[in-house]
Amino acid sequence: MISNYIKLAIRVLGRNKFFTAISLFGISFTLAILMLIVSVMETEVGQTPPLSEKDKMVIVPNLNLKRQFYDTIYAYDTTMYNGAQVIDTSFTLNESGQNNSNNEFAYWFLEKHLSNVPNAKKFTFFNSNNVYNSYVNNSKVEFKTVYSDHRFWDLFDFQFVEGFGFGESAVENEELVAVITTELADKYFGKVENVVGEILEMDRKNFKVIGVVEPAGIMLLAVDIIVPYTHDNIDAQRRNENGFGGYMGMFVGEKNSDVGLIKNDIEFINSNTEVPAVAQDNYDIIEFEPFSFHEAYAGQILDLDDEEESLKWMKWIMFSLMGFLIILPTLNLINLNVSRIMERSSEIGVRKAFGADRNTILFQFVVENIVQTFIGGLIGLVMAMLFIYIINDTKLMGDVILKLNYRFFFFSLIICLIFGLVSGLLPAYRMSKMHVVSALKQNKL
Amino acid sequence: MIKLQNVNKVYRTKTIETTALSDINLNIDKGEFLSIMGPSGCGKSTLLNIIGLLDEPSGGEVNIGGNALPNYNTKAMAQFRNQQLGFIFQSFHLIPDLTVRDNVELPLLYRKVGGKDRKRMAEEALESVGLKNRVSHFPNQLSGGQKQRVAIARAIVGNPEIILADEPTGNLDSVMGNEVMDILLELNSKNDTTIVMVTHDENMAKKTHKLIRLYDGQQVA
Ligand SMILES: Nc1ncnc2c1ncn2[C@@H]1O[C@H](COP(=O)(O)OP(=O)(O)OP(=O)(O)O)[C@@H](O)[C@H]1O
Ligand SMILES: [Mg+2]
Repeated sequence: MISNYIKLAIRVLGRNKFFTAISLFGISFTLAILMLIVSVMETEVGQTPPLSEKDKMVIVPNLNLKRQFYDTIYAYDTTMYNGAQVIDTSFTLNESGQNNSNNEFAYWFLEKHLSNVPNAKKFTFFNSNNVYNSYVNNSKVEFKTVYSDHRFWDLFDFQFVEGFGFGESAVENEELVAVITTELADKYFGKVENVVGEILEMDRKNFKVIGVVEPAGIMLLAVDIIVPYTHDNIDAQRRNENGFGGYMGMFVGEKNSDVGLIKNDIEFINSNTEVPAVAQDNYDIIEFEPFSFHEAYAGQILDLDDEEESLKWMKWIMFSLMGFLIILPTLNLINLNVSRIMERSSEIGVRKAFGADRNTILFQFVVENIVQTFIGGLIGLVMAMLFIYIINDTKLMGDVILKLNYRFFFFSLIICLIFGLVSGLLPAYRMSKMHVVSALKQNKL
Repeated sequence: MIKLQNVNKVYRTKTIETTALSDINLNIDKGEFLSIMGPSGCGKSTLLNIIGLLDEPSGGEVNIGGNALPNYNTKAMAQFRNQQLGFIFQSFHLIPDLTVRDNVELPLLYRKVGGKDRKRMAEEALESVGLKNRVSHFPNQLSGGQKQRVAIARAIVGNPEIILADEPTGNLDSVMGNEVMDILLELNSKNDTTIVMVTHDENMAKKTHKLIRLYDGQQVA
């Protein structure tokens, strides 16, 4: 029976080519855009390497030192360090009567306070704020550099093409070793194979490449090269300062529900941590807030005050966007479908006369519509893949590399199905209710 | 076989009330070939639709085969039509997107007959109307007479007890009309199929067993 309907659906589509082309274009374009959104979401919030444990992750991005005061004090302070994009701001909001400094952490601070979070199975501290330039064959090559501890390789499952990450002793002994992405290998050495063992110059030091990885392809880990944090000269100079620096902490639990526990642990540690001695003249409150990965991500994009709020908003925005994108073409398609099915009312009359009941008719038209949607979906998929290819190839989204994985295909399939059902059900329902005699009177066959 | 008692049909809209049929009493025996005549708008199609269980009377009783009928607009009623009745329409009502064979298979599809049997039965039915070599054509590739013969094949493919034909020759010239009429007559005499036919053609009506005439919704002869 279904095969009959599919056959019929294809014949019906072939009957009015112009009409079909228009509706298929609408369907495929809509679905392509939806698929693109799925791909972006999948890339940015889905769990793919090197962030396969995204849903178990807790991030502590920055340190906040505050002082309540009653006089109005104006202070504005920025610090520039050689070559490094370290943003260190200290500002005063006289209206609120609060002196507030907010930045990432110095390594020592994280090591001292956050290397014993009870519910964290893994953790790492790293600095991803550095960009260096180098000249290869007279053209500038820019490195986004991460300084990290050895635990970095345990927490992030980077896909190694060649070699390995560095271990604890390499970090402690300040070995000049580096892991680079295939992208940088290509730019710097002009090759992606047999790169291990090559020497790369950065920050006036010669690093030996010990590993080559696939680019992470997400905003949070936009990185070309990873080296031991012990080479971070600026951080070294900050050992006895107030705790600010360029590092953040990342923690992973055993299971998703550990995220809450880890957050509690860190909040508890926070409540028992005092303002570093050297900063006590200026500050009396210390805060470092833990976030789930998704909260941190939403916070980064929306930049609201509160990350949890940001996540809520972002979900809303995403869903309304998808809703809008799906509702308008669906309404349009419903409209087209109604007029299209109307033309077939005497067919419905005949089918009913010869024994089709209401549900059979409903089923037939829904199946037909799903077939149509899937044809549109297939075209949409090709379009989406083309868009994704272009976006990745032209770096339209910066370092984000949009992913095409089985989950993307799965979600695309679901979207097609929903779209097909929603747009087909209403017209089919209306037609299935039609009275046999009046359906037959519409003498259009 | 078919029994109508005091059947009425009134169409009501907000402004007008049309009495399409009033007080029809009818007895059709098994194997009978009945024709219905009358001027346009007298209620012939309405009567046929009521006999064919496509339309519900406003009053009176319809009885087919002596059993209680299921409610209108139910699955059971659709099944009953599917098993017992075959329809032939003036304007053929073939589905344009289906081949001749698929059109003929339609009643069997709703009877959930398997694909192979459907194919065989459809081809047999088409053979009996002389169209065996047109199975893969589409309706728009056929003449009017051929279309109506396909429609007859569709009506008989499931071996229904009763065939209802609303002006089956109305859109055909006399040669083709006679061909179609001959098929119906043969079906009636050979298979003992009960046939109720609406017609405008006295010559066609003369060939049937019994003729009733309607005038303004009333049976006049
Ligand atoms: N759905 C409807 N609503 C209102 N009136 C209707 C409806 N269907 C039929 N009628 C009326 O009922 C009467 C009988 O109609 P019917 O179609 O049975 O006539 P008929 O004898 O078949 O005519 P023809 O020979 O032209 O086919 C007509 O007056 C018609 O206007
Ligand atoms: Mg009529």
